[in-house]
This record gives sequence, structure tokens and C-alpha cells, in this order.
Amino acid sequence: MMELVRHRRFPTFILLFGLFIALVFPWVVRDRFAQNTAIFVLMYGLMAQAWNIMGGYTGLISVGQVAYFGIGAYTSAFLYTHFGINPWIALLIGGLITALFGVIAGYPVSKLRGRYFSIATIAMAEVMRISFSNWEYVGAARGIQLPIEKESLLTFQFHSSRLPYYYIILFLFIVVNLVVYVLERSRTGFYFRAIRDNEEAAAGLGINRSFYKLLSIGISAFFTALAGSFLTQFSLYVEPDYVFASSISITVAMVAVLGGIGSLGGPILGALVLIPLSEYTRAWLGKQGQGLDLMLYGALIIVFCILEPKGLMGLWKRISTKKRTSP
Amino acid sequence: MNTAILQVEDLYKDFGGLRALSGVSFTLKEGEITALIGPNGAGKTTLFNCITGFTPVTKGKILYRGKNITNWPPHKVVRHGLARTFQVVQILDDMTVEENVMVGAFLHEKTVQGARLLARKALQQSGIDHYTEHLAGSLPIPAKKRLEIAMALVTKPTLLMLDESMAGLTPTEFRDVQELILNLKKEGVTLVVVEHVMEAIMPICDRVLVLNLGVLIAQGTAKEVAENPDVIKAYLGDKYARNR
Amino acid sequence: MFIQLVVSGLLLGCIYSLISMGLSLIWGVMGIVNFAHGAFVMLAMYAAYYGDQLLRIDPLLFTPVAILLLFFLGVLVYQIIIQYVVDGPYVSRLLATFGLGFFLINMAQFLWSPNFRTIKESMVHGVWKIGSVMIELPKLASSLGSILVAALVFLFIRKTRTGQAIQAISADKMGAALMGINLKRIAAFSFGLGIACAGAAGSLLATFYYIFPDVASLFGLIALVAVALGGFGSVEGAFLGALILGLVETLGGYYVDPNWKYALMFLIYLGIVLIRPQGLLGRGKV
Repeated sequence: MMELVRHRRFPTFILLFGLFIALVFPWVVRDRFAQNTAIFVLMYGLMAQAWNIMGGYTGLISVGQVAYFGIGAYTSAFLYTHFGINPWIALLIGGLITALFGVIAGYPVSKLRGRYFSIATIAMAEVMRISFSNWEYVGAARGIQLPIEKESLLTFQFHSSRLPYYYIILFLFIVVNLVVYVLERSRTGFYFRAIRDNEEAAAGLGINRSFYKLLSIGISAFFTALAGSFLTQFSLYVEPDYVFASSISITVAMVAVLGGIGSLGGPILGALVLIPLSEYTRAWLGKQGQGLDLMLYGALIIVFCILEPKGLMGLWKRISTKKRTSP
Repeated sequence: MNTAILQVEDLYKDFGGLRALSGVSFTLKEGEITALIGPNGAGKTTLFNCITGFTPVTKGKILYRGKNITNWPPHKVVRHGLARTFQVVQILDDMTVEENVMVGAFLHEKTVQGARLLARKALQQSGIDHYTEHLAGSLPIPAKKRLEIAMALVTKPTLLMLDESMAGLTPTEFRDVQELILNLKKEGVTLVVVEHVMEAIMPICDRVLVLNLGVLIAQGTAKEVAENPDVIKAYLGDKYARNR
Repeated sequence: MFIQLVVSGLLLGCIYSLISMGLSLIWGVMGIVNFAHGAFVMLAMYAAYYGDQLLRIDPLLFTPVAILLLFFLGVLVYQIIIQYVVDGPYVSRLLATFGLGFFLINMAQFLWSPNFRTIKESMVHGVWKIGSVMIELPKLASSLGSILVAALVFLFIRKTRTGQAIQAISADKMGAALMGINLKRIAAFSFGLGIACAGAAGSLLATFYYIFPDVASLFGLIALVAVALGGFGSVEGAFLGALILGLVETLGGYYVDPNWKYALMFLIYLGIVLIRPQGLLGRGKV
């Protein structure tokens, strides 16, 4: 069956409408739990979109994104507590250092493909967790506590309201989406997809595979680290088992896959569905015994992989094509 | 027009204990069509892979326009004007036909619009412009082969190496490809063509190289090669050669 | 001391081999990397624990029961999950098994709490001294048990009709289907067999290892790394990889730092695939 492709992208007007909703959301919904959930939606949305750059566009399926997340979180916490560097600058430096780490560590790993690559990413993340758990200089298993400061935009601390945090993470989320939007329409985006589809053909068309793979890892690591730094400021502490938890890696990949990979709308949609679902089940079941909420979460992942392997974007595409063909 | 464009000097390629190419040397002249023939397992595809950087060379030298390109990475080889197709079609399955060709076009055009224009032209030239918006992976085989040629063409090669681009095509289809090859020659592109279908390639080529078990056993015009006893032996076996 | 460490490392490696063998088998037949493999080891450890607590059956003797239990669990999992994702895209195959592991680990947390448990004293206990080398008998028994189970599985695959069907599918799926082999049935059976290997290892490990839900992540990752290190599709490779990891664990734990031993194992793996991306005994393209 030959397949005709016309409408692959999420319509821009839906994105703009979504942006409007996102901007007014915390003014309409004042519930603190709902606002916290919204912050996590954006944080995971940010990371899933970053995952998408590597996994969805370039085909480097990582299940160890938490390595970048944790390094970002630690770098900004460390720079702030040891050198008194402003959190905003620490956030940026954290992103850049993590991108550098991603490129250096990624150089050998990016030569691996498919399952070998995925396994290497988990191993890498685990090495990071163990290293930070035993590294005395950064507090080993105790982690790092951030001192409480007066609240202001400059100190990146807000105690009376969640709103500033919400808008900061919304801003970072919009930035990563803009980057993907531009990428999708640029030569680099085409090169990423070409590498994902067929490395040999891509090389035969003049694409420097190593360079573009590392570029996509670097960009992905940078934005994932920003999410980590944000969490540092949001919760005011970092701890190896908290910021290097493998469940973060799985959730990030799952958000992207649930939404549909290789498209701008996928991770957004995935975060909107999966994160509230897991946050609210956690709140609902949380007291009745640990594990039950995550058990359901695991089951949900399985059910979804069976029913909609192409993600919600695939579902949306099916519905929208049906509409178009019916009179 | 008769300057050397590609010189292969004493090329060896070993896979573990297996010698796939053994002391292969030849020169390609600019503007000619060269057929590379030989029985299965002769090392034709390996030779292509070595020249285009997909397989590292064990020993020997490859000069392209006097420049030593031995063991260059594939993308660098393409950027210097040496493009190829693959025996087993290598295209970008999840991208549209147009996008496939655009990826190659980006070598010369940084903008998406510019690349699209170049791609459309190459699609027309290879006669598959009616598939523009189809998913490449869903095309029938002959269309895939043409798409691959379009992808190679859009990189604006001076030397184009086609690996069995006519295999499995109907006579009408391979006549189209023949015509395309002759048109390219007119435009000044040098071609090397690996082909199993002798009648498809012999009438249009200027020179023939014959590879057998990794050794270049003959080279010359189609007529010279056809009368070479070593070639006959390689193709038909010892007995036939002795009886002649 | 060195010999002592090498012996301990090899004993540990034998148990890792059995876990890895199951993973390798499942990969060979259905092209699925089972990221939930460690969770089945963990389940078998709990099964052995309750066998000991409630039924007073020693974990060593419980092993055949664990094999049967886990075999049927594996077949069940294949029927309700795996057969539906096996032809799907790579990421959904990957995440489905991840989700399964997540489900099982948290089920264990919910049912049995995250606390550590141990079996007081297995029927084989004590230390055997040969010169300066001390061999802990529970570990020796578990390793010998692992070798025995692995050998039986190996023989089964080589000598029986079902085993030959498994080999045929691993080598050439289409060809096997044309020969009239029922792919679904063999796949279900192989998945069960692979999980049974994990189950046997779990029951054997229960004699001396801490039992807690998150042990799944550790054994799962070790098995994945062992198979990737040895090369997917090569049972011998999985064995070699597992032995190397066992050695690095004991030697690294002693000469470097016990806290860093797992990091060291994974780093060595990353170092080796840097040079041989297809693994030590893997063939062909990655």
C-alpha cells in the first residue's frame, strides 16, 4: 500500500490556543495541588521534548535521560552553594556543562545502535547515580541543601506563591518547543530524521553522522539539564537517589512515546495526559500503601504500548483523516 | 576530456581471514561510462564500499582527481562529488520522496525552499515526480531504485557509481535507466555501473572492468572483454574455456 | 586473596550467566529485549522466601518449583502482553517491558514492603577451606545449581524437537514459519523458558542474597549489560559477559572500593563496546 503524506504536523493554531490556555491557567485554577501538577506537566514536557530531539528525530532511543537531568541539577546546586553564583547563571552553566558531558560521553556511545545504544544509556545513568552517591565533594549520599533566601526573581526563590515557578518553567518549555519548531523546518532537522531513518543512506547523502548525532545529544542534554536545575530551585535540595532516579528516565521516554515521537505535538500531548494522570492517582492512592500508584502507572504504560504504539499523535492523525474522508 | 578522474592503486580488502579484494588497480577517465562486471561474490560491491568510504581499506590507495581519498568518511567523499547508489536500496523510509531528495539537496542549498526546488528538478530528471508526497518506504521497488538515483544526482556528482540500478526491472524500465545514464554522460558526469544484466549495460558503456574473486582479471572495450579467455572461464567455468 | 576473589567472582558470574541466558534466549526468538527480566528474578526470590517461611522448603529444593511457577508466569505474560507488542515499533516494545518491570517492582513494594529480608540459614551452610581459599558453601551450591539448570536448558535446546524449533526461529524466522513451525506457540514457550531461567536464578540467589523489590533493577541491568557485552544472539557471549561482570564485581569491590563496584562494571562494559560495538562474541552489524 502506498501512503500519501499531506498533514503530518499539529496545526499551528492549536499550539497558539494551547499557549493562551497555559498563560491564563494559574489565574483561573487557584488550587495549589493543581498548580504543582501543572508545573510538573511543563517540567516533564520540557524533558520529553528534549528526549524527542534525540529519540524522535535522530532515532537515538535513550532510557537514561536522568543522567543529564541529575548533572544539571547538581551543577547548579553546587555552583550556587559553593561559589555563590546566581541561580540563573548557574542554570545556564549547568546546561552548558551537561551538553558538554553529553557530547563527550556520547561520542563512543553514539556509535552504538538500537538496543545497544539504549542499554548503554541506562548503564551511563547508573554510573552517574553511583558516582554522585559516593562523591564526598558534592555531599555523597546526603546531597546538597540550598539555603533559603529572600524571595525574588533574582534569587530564583518564591515562598508565598507557586506562580513565578510556573511561569519560569513555562518559559523554558516554550523555548524548547520553539527550538524544535525551528529544527523541524531546517536543514539540521532534515539531517536528524535522515540519520534516524537510515544511517548509510544519510552518510551517502553527505551527512556527517557523528557530528549531527552529537549535536542532537548536546541540544537534548542542555534542555534536560535546565529541567534539572529548575527542580533544584523548586525543591531547594538535590540528592542522588532523587535526581538520578531511573523512573525519571522512563517517565520522560514514556511521555514522548505516549504522545507520539518525531513530532512537535507529541511530547506536549503526552505530558498533558500522563503527568496529571500519575499525579492524581498518586494523591488518590498514595496513603493506602506505597507502590500501588506506581503499579497502576506501570500497567498504564503496558496498556498504552499495546493499544496505541504510535502514540496519541497517531490516534489524532487517524481521527483527523477519517474526518477528512467522510463527507 | 580524457584526464583521469579516479585512480585505484593496488587495493586490498580483507574481512578477517577472507580476502575480498586483491591488488586491484585501474583508472577511470573523465566523461566515460565504465561497466564493472563479474560473477556473484567477485567483490564489486566491496570495491564500491571501499571507494566511497563505507568500508575501510586494508591496503592500497584511492586517488580522486589526484587527491588521496583513501579511507575518507562517506560524507566527505560525497561532498567532493563522488556519489553512489546501493545494491540493496538505501532510502529514508519514513520521509516523503521529496524529503528524501531534499536531504541530498542540502549539500548545495542551506534553505528549505532552495533544497525543495533542487529536489523537484532531480525528481523530474529521474522520472518519479508523480510520487513527490508519497512515503518513500511505501513505493514499489522500481520507483525506489529511481528515487535512489535522484538522491545521488541531487548531490551534483562528477562521478556517479550505480550498484545494480537495473536489477529486477522490466525491459522498458531499464531502457529508461539506460537513457538516463546516457543523458548524464552528455552532461559530463563520469559513471561506473555495476550490473548483472549484460545486455542492459554492454551497449552503452565505453569500457568494461571484470572482477573475479577479488582480482581484476580484464579491462578494455566490451568487445575485447567478451573475447578474453579468462573472462569466459570466470563466467562459464574451465571446461567451456578449454573447448573454445 | 587474589585467587579467593577470582573464585568468588566466577561463582557469582555463574548465577549471572543463568539470568543472562534467559534474556539472550528471549531476544533470539522474538527480538525483544526484556527490560523486566530482573523483576522475574526478584519474584522468584520472594517465592523462595515464602516457600521457606510458610512451607519450610529450603530455597535450593524450591528451585524446581520456582522454575515451574515462573515458566507459567512467563507464558501468561507472553499471552497477555508480549504477543501484542512484538511486532510494534522498537520504542513501544522497549517501554512495554519497562512498564512491566515497573509494575512488578511496585507490586512487590505494595505487597511485601520495600524492607530487606533474608533467609535465616539454608540447608547448605558454612565455609569450605581449600588452602587459603575460603568458599562459602551457599554460594557454591547456588553456582552449581545455576550451572546445572543452564546445562539442562542448553541440552534441551540442542536435543529436543521443541529446542530445535527454537534454534530454527532464532536463525531464520521466515524459514522456520515455512517449515511449519508454529511461531506463536514456540515464542510463548521460549518466553516461559527464558523467564524460568530467571526464576531458577532467583530461587538460588535467595539462599544468600538480600531479598527486596529493587533488587530487580540491579539484576536486570547486570543481565542486560552481560548480554550486550557478550553480543546479542550469542549464548556463549552472554556466559562470557556474565563471568566478566562477576569477576569485576569481586575484584573491583576489593581493590577499588565496594561502593564503586557496580559503576566499575558498567564502565568496563562501556569501554569494551567502545572498541567492539557488537559485543565480544557478537557477529555482524550492530
